[in-house]
Amino acid sequence: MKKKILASLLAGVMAASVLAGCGSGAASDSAAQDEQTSEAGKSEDNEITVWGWDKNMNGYALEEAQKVYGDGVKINFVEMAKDDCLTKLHTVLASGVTDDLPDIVLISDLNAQGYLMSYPDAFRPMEDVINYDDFAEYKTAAVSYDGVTYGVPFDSGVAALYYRTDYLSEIGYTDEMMQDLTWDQYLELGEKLKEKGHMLQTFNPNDIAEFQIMLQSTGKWFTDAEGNADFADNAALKECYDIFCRLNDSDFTKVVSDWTEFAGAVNGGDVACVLRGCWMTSTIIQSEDQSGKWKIAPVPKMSTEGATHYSNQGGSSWFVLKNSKNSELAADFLSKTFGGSTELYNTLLSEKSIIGTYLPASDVEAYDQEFEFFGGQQVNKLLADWMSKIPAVDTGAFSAEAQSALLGVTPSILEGGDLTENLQDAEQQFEQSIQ
Amino acid sequence: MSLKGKTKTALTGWSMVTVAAIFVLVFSYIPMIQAFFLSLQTGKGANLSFSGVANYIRMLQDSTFWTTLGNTLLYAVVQIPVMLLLALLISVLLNDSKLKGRGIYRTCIFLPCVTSMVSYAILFKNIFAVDGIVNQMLLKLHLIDDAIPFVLDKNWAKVVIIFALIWRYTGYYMIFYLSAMQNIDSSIYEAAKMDGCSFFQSFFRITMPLLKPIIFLTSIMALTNTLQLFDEVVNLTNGGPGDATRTISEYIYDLSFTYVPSYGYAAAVSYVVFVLIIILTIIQKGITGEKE
Repeated sequence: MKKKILASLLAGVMAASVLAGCGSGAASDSAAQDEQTSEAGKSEDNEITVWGWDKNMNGYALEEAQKVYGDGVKINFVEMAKDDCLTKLHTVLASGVTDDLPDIVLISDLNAQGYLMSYPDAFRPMEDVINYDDFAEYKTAAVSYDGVTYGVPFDSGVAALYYRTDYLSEIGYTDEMMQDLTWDQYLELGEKLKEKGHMLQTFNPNDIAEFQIMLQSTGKWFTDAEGNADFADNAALKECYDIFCRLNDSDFTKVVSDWTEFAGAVNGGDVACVLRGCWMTSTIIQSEDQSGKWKIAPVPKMSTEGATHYSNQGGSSWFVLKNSKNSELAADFLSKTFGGSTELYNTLLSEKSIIGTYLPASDVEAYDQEFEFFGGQQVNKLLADWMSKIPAVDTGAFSAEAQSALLGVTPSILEGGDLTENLQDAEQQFEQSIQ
Repeated sequence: MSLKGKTKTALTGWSMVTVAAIFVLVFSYIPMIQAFFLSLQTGKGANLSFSGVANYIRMLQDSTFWTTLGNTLLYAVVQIPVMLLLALLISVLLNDSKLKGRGIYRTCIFLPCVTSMVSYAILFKNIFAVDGIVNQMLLKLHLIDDAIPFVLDKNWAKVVIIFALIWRYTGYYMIFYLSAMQNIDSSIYEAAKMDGCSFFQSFFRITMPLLKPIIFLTSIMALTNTLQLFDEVVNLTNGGPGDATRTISEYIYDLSFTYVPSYGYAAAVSYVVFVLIIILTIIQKGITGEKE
């Protein structure tokens, strides 16, 4: 009997402690909430929460934008890794909970269509506050869905061929000779550089991100205008794989397996060339000892019809969430800063070399700036000029699926499997994955 | 009186488990049921509509699904026997009461288990990188002429992942075997020794049969763990090259977050994993039930 009493006593104590635990937890939660709301009340609810990545670049841009807009707004930039940011946005939008919504989110252009398609009514159309004639056309297309434009275009990922002038002069190449390269000529550089003990570029057999640059330079993409797979009959894509196989078979590439190794190879002086969007600048200039040794040139030209020297990789845009607390203020903030201030773009350009896509800002003075790191080149001016010549492509919503389907067959292509057959397999897998 | 006593005992029992049970119900079972209904819907993102078993039919034609399922089962089939055998071997060695410092050995072998899954995966990635320590060693010893891109080769990548899994989890299962062995009466071994039984004979004739239930238990545990493999693969190879190392859990993640989200289809795929695990649990129940 004693045991039973003890048992029920214990049970009672445990239950009580658990309940008490819950109770006090709930109490302190609500207290914290009260505090928050009262704090927000004090600041008259003019705080805009922004989710994004890269504090050094995007966070900086917001800070500057806030200075342009004035005291009417406070920016709370929540920094996350890019993947985390995009994932978190999915979870919060899919849950339908509106309490914790940020006011503004940064979304990379290749993902934008997917979000707009997946969550109708989640984003605020911006046509009433932004004049979209002021933006590069390819960017406006990327942030529109079903005829409505939602995003405020931000940075461009205009692609460039970064090269080491010191390595190339060893094999007798001058800057002029780098301006109009074809891919064949570019790969020939590799053989010559190898003799001097340098590698041409990095190579990751499990990463086909460079295809984005190659395809867009010809005005093509992984998918066609209707969003269907364009693999097996896509001459540009086939040429991409041809180049990819040649890089794979060659002995003049530095094999890497992730970003860390890639950046290490670039900063460590292992490779002579890097082909990436212009956001790569911030990584390259980190090795200060290489100042004056780098320059940029237009990307190598493919042999497919419509090929140019100009392309794009990456870039992102701002989106306002319709159901957030300060949605209207956020829209006004964006329209007066990223959607209407040449002064802001001038600052971003001269301080961080952020190439915006706002056309009225295309003649601000920062474009004339010469960069010591790039041997006195007017990098911003060149990039802006190339940006205006990028062939427009409709990337659609399913770029990630397309690249994943292609990556699935890439090992077999590299092993010498039949290209067309493999691309047909990938096409099937892609069609299946977008159901 | 006795009935009343029983009710009292039952009430005491219930009062103890109710709170936990409610939490399990709210945070585990209800979402599971919701996930099932989600798996019957198709559409991208929030545009979901009911479509019956369409997702399950889609799975049949989805080559990525079959590849990832195949990879996951391959990990299980190769890794689990090797790992459990190794765990058994180590625990036999460490069970020897004459061995000095066995506490230290035990700790050392168990230690990998407490490391974070992400950090050890990143460590292994560095060790097996193109210019990592393994390649450097092999090159210095002149065993190979060129560095092997371990995580970029579809076969080597699988080997590295299996190796990493064995490194981390062997110690965990060793603990199970050790504690089970301590329950075996040492007089049995003494008697066997008197009858002229060799070490191997006593291992195969005494230790193994007596450990049978725990070997079954650990193999099922390891199997369910491997079926949910995610962290290691994502951080080591990110599923590459191609789909060569992608697991089913990573595929579910991609379907929800990397691609334009198909939450319904992702739920359906996870239900297949769930059903696989249920089947294995039933097998486990059957086996341990027989023993009792």
